[in-house]
Amino acid sequence: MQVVQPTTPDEVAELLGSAQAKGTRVGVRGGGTLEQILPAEGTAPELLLDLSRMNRITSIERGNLLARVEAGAVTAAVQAAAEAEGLFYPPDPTSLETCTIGGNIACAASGPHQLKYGGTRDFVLGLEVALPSGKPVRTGADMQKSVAGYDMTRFLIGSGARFGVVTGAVLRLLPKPQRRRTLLCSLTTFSAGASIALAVMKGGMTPAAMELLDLRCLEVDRDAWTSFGLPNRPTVEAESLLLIELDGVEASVNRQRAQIEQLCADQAKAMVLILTDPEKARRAWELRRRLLPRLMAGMPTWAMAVAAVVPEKLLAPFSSDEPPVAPISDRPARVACFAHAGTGMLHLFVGIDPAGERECDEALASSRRMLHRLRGAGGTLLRTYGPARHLLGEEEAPASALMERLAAIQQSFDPKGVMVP
Amino acid sequence: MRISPALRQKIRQIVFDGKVLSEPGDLYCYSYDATRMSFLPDLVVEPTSARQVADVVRAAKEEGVPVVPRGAATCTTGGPLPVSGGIVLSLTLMNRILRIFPDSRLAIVEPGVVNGDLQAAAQPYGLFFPPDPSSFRVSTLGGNIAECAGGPRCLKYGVTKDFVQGLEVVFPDGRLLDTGPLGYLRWPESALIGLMVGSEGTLGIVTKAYLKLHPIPPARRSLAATMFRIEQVGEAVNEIFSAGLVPAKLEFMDGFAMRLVDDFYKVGLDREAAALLLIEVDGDKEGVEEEAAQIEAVCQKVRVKKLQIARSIEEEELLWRMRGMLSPTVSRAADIKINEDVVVPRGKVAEALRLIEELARRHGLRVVNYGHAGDGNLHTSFLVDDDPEQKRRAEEAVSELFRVVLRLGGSVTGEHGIGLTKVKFLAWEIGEEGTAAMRKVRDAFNPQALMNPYKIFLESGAEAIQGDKRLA
Amino acid sequence: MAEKPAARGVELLDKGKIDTCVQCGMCLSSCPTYRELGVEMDSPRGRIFLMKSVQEGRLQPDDLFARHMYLCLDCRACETVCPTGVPFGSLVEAARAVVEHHRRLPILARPARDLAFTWLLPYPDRLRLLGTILRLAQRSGLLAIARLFSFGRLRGWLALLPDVSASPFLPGDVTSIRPIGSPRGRVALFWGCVAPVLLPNVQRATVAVLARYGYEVVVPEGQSCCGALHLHNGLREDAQALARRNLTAFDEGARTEAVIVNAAGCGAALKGYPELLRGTAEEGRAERFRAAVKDFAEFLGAAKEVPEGGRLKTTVTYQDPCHLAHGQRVTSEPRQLLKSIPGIEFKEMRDADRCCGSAGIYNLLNPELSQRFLKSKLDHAVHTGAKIIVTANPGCQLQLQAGIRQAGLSTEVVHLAELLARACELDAGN
Repeated sequence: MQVVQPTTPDEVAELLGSAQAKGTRVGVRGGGTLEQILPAEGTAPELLLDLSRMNRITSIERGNLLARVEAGAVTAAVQAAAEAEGLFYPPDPTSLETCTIGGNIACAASGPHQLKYGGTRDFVLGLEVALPSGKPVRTGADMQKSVAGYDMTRFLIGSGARFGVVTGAVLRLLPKPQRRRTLLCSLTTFSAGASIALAVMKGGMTPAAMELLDLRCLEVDRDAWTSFGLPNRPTVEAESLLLIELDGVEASVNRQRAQIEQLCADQAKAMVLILTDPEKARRAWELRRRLLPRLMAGMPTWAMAVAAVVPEKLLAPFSSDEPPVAPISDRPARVACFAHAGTGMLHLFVGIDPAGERECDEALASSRRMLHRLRGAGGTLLRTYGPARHLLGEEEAPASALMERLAAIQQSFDPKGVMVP
Repeated sequence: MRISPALRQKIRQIVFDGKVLSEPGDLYCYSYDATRMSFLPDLVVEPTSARQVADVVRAAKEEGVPVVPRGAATCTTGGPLPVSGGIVLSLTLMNRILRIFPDSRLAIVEPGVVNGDLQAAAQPYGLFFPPDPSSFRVSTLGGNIAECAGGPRCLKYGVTKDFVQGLEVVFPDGRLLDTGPLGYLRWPESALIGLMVGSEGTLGIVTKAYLKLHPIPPARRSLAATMFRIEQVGEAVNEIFSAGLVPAKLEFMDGFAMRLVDDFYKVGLDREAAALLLIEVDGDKEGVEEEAAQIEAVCQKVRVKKLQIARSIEEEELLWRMRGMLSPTVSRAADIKINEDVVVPRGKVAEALRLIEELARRHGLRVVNYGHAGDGNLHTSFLVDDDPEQKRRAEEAVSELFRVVLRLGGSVTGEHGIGLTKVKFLAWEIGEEGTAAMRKVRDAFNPQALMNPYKIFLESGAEAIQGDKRLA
Repeated sequence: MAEKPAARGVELLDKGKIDTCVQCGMCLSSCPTYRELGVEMDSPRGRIFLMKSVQEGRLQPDDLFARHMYLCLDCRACETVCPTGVPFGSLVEAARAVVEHHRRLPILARPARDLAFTWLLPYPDRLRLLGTILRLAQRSGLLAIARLFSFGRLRGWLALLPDVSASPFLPGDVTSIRPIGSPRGRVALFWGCVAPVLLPNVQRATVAVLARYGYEVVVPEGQSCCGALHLHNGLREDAQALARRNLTAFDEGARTEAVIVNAAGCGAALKGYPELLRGTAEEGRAERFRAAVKDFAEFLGAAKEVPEGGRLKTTVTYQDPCHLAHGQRVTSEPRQLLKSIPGIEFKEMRDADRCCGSAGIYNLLNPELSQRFLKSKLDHAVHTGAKIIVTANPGCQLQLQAGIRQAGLSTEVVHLAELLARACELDAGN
């Protein structure tokens, strides 16, 4: 396999054009973050385009509220550049320190800000794409509102490299919120956390982010969390955490904070910590982002299911014999559950040490039961990650009616079939 | 285009509890939309279920009969016009709101539900559906989805595509697909949803939509600022964003529009002002107070001519009625109003307005500019007398308008779609490669373009067909 | 397409008016028949396009055309929302006139309608006779028997009849009424035709309230039915004849402040005389007359207060008659009057200005559809919890009363004048 690091969109286009002509299989790579949790399947490409050198943030246009970036620009860098101009780029995949805009676009990445703002697909105004034919094309416009023909931008987002390679993007920016506040709500049970989250939504609030973590999530980084002032082991009365970010004008943030404190006050033994220091808030979210690596740490193998359900059914997977409480011990099977509460996206993590076969089988069976119950409540398994992901079950295959059409479009863009998705 | 008796019979059997209309008067009434053009269909079918839609589409395809989906036909670009005859498939009988999940902020609706009716149904739950095109009392959600409707509120909340979380679609070959309410979270369903919204009925027919609702903000406040110079509109908008604020609405109208509104409705508008900026902020009570105060400060900083804050519901309604009155007022000021909905990057609004005034002057036409200052979406209206010479100059002016807008990095349509009327201009905006890429998508879903033909893409033979079938 | 020769009467369809429609579709939201029937042909936009097709010779004014024109309620709610000011009411009336030139009504229907419109309505003495017959029929129990044994359409029609025990109150019964206290002014009263027979207490209340407000009320002789029903049913020439008759009768109008009308349908018709007589010798007189015509609420609403001592403790809601709200754009005065009565709690009903389904003789000709509109209206009215539904048109009053009776509800339906009379404790029987 040959790895090439192009530096301009024209180079990318040329490489694709010649690959098409010669029938060379081509793959693309951004920050490589996805590969860490989702090893590639199928035949490896013969030519790998590594876009990490195309990492410039070409411009931040204040007047037009947009940023022009190359595909290899790192998400965190884009966010920082925007904030420096008094602007805000909301999409926040948890790997934002390393993942690239191009990578985000390829897999339609999103993070906690999905709740109030949405994800990558909501903040791309236009794309610069190198087609497999070797021709470059632009999609979208520099404005949010344009309906000239089809929304090719949204069509391409999430499609990997099937139809071409994204070489650059025009990103939508927002004015930076005047105030941000992070709340840590410690609750006695996972269900209590889910209930509070639902109550927040029912109360007409839409926090910028609202993450629900269970006991295991807290345990794998316990010292870091307790440094904020959260209760320490072996308190079994602090088994879940709601991590909430509020933003807006000061009066509005205060009002929402007060409302949430009131909701938690109605819950026995709940505790609300308000992180007024921006540095502390930043660290709290950093802890959230390193959750998956921490869960993975020390486990020989692992699997994680990301499932979605309508938010009010977030507790559907759990029942009396499968309460959302992690087993006390985290060996040989480490089970954790965390959610983008409010959006209805649930993550079920199972870390597996093959030395404890029985416990691991039980953990996996229990997880599969939970997913089954979730499907029964109208939910869906979005994707699975990890080397052991096939143990958690199959993602639902998309309808053939749709796949056939996509295959036809793929065929028309890439007649020789050289693009590795 | 004739429809065989066998096909007619089959369709009557399929749509046994809906409507199949074939009288001359019926066909005339489904030949038009809001463009004043009309083309005669061969049959009008109003199904009552997705299965019926699918079966009709399949039966029509087998005989090579075009199918043109239609909602309430308030479209201003010819979207639902049966240009080559065939079947007009009206979704208006499928008008049930199937279910609202208030705690999940989700509504499941049939495509014929009127936008305003969804608002009314969501209201008791403290929820609303943000896209608010001016046709909301009449236009259907299916139509809103087909065009990706906008409206003043979209500045803060987003446009229709931001609220579609899932779709059930009948493809042009009659196959049915339902993504469910979580389609937006998964590829490839998200790609399908992204394509369908704004596809103007050329990729499939929506038979069910899963729509995101939003809590009704507890409070709102409206302000109106008159300006000495039109540039101050852009300055004010810029300052508002720089302050970190995103109001719910930022609407403007130019001096000419203000005088027209004042002529007809005698509301005491400043006839010397260059422009009027209408601002609405919404949210929780405390937040709204603060935002309104900050906007007041911005207006003072920008040195607006006069700032008025609505202190009661009546005052607020009057302010927004002036904006709502604009379109009809402008219609009455001339025999013919030619309205375009162009967009420019928001930082270029002032420049765009200057260039538009200039080009109108050069063509000897009156022009009114108003629209969504916050997102650069301008409704530019040329006022034309019923005179062939003026009409010709207006046509040229519109072409030049598009050239100007595109040179500024804008778009020929922000909300109304390409439809039939702008097929010539699609390639101007997205180029040959872009058009070719879109055609590939269209051909994969709608080979031979039997579903809603002659829309979006310029086809050879279009002029001839149009001449043949056209009534008006 | 080959053009057929234009049908007879087509010149009645005014191309200029038709062309003001830009097909924007805004009217679809306010049209009750579109909301019920869901087809474009039964929307204002569709009906106009059908008229355009007839006018351009593409379509004949056949039975289907007639059906869609007559399914229209002529409520004119579309006019209220139309951005370009299309005069839909006058268009549909012209379309019906075109239809009348062409169609053959079923063998009994035309004479029956002619009997009512031409032989009965314009003649107070014949109306008085009708009133007497009805009263006798009710007293003798004949009416009850008829109601019991009737079926189909007849049953529906009989259901609309109110309690007719009160004696009719006709123009001949009074020539002038003196005000109470010092006179504020002098007004002429338009009497109407069927209302004083079927709802005489409304007339009594109207007269009593005007007097209480301090107006001398004059009832010109020689006046007759306003012609609304004729015009709305395509009998344009008959309507014009009645208009001329009324113009002559009210010529003395110069000596009065206003011509008061307490029936919305009549008020709209009278205000429409200039249009009806456009291009004739009487056009000028019609314009002057029109300037003097005021609806009862419109006129008193300007006074903005209830005469001293007036009060009434109850909950009311208001049903806008179509031809007052849409036909005359009078919506705030009735509400102001009601809210100004001390003790009244006013509740706004949903869709107060949507047609109740009465629409002239629409409820007689299209009973099923009329019932659907009525049901919707009653649901909204009852939902307010009001004890009394107030309206300002006899057709609406009869329709709502019939609906209340049928549903077994206890809500009262009264005319605005009756409510004011009650508030002022005026005996409306003098």
